[in-house]
Amino acid sequence: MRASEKAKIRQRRIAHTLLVVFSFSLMFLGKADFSALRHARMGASDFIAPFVDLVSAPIRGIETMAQGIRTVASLRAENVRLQAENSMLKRWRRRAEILESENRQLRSVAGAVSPDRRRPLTARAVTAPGGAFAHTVLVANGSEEGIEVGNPVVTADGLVGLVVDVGVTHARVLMISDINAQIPVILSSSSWPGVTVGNNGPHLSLRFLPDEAAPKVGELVLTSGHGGVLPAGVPVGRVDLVQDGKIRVRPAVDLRNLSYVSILVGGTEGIDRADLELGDYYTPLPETVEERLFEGVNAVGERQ
Amino acid sequence: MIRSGRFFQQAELESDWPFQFLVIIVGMVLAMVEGGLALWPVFYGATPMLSLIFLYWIALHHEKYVLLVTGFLIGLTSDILFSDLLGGRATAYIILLFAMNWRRQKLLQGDFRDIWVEFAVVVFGVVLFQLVAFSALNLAIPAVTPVLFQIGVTMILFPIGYVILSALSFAFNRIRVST
Repeated sequence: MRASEKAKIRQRRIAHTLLVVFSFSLMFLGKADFSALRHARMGASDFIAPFVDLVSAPIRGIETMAQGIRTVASLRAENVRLQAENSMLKRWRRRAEILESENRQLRSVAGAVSPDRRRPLTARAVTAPGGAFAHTVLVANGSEEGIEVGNPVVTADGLVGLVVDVGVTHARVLMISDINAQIPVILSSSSWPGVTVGNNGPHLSLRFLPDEAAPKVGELVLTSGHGGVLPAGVPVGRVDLVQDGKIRVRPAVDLRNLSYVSILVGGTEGIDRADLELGDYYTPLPETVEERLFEGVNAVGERQ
Repeated sequence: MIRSGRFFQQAELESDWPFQFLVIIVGMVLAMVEGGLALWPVFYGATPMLSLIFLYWIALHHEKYVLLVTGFLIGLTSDILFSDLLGGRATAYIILLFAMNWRRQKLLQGDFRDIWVEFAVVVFGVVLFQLVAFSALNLAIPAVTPVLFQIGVTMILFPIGYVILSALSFAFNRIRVST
C-alpha cells in the first residue's frame, strides 16, 4: 500500500471519528438547550419548512380527496347528525346567554376583570407530529407576524399547545400531548386544580389532583390560568377514564387533524421569558392545600 | 500535448461524488415525505421510516454511494423536522452504516428473507437507540404503542420499498448503459 493511500485512510478514519463524536455530542448539546443551538435549529426549520410544504402537497391532496369521498359516502347520516346537533346547539345558545348575563352580573359584584389582551392570529400547520419522541407542529407564521415564545395555540375546540420556538417565517408549537407539556388545569364541575401531562400518545394523564377530588368520566378539563402564560377557561379535554387512581384525559382538539390553528398573540407582558425553559411554562401547582386554593386568584394567576 | 506526472493526472470523469450527493438529497427528501405522511391521521405520531428503508437498501447494494455523512445528514433532517432529540437519529444512522459495512457481504449471499429479518433488527436497533437516548436525557419514557406501530409499519413497507428501489435502480442502469 502506498504512503498516500495510507494517509488517506488515516484521514478518513479521523473524519469518521470526528463525525461520530460530533453526532453524539449534538444530543447532549441539544438537550442543554443553548440559545445559539436553538436559534440554529429554528433557522434550519425555517429553511426546511417550505420544502416540506412542497413535498407534502400531494400527500395533503390525497388526504383531502379521501376526506371528500368519506364525506360523500356519509352525507345522509351526516345530515341527520347535523340537524340533531343544530337543535342541541340552539338549546345551548339559550343556556349560554342566560349564563353570560349571570356571569356579567357576578363579575360586576366581584370586581374581577376578564383579561382581553390577546389577539388571535390564524396560522396553517405545515407539519404534524411524525415521530414517537416529540409532539410538535410547525406553523407557517413567525416573528414577522408578532408571534412570541409562550403564545398559546388554540382551535375552536380548545387548547392545542404553546409556541416554544419562533423563526422569522415559522414557529414551532409544543402540543399538549408532548411528554414535556404539563398544563395547570381545573375540573369544570368542581374547580379542583390539577396538571395534565402528555406522554407522546393520544391521551393525557391528569395528576396532582387533591385526594378529595372525584373526577367523573366525561367531565370537562379547562386551563386554570395559573402562572399567567395560558388564559384561563380554555378547554383542554374531557376525562376519559378513571381507574386505580389514574385519570386519563382525551384532548378536546382532534390533534391528528390540525390544518389551521389560532395563535393568541400578546398577553405575555410581565412574564419573564428571557431565561424561561420549557418546564417553567408548566409549573406544577403547590402541594400544600392552602397555596393550592384559587380563592383570591384572578385569571392571570395573581393573588388579589 | 499530453502532460504526465504527479500534477497532471487525468480528470476523473467517472466520479462517485454526483451520485453520493444525489443519495443525500433523495434521503433528505424522503425524510421530508415522512413529515408529510404525518399529516395523515393514520400515521399521526408514528410515520414509517422511509429514509431508513432507502438508506438500508442503498448501503446494501450501492455502498460506494453512501458516506457516513449521508446517514448523518438524513438523520439530522429528520431530527430537525420532527423536533426529536437533536442528533438522535443521525447517530443511529451512522451506527447503522458502520454495521452494514460488516454485514453486507453475508447479506448479499443470502435471500430476501435474510435481508428482511436483518432490516427488522435494524429498525428495532434504530428506534431502541433513540428510545434509550431520549429516556436517559429526559428521564421519561414515552408511550410505547406509537413506537411499536412505527416499527411495524416500517417493516411492512420494506418489501414494497425494496422492490420499488430495485426497479428504479435497474431502470437507471439501463439508461446509463444506453447513453
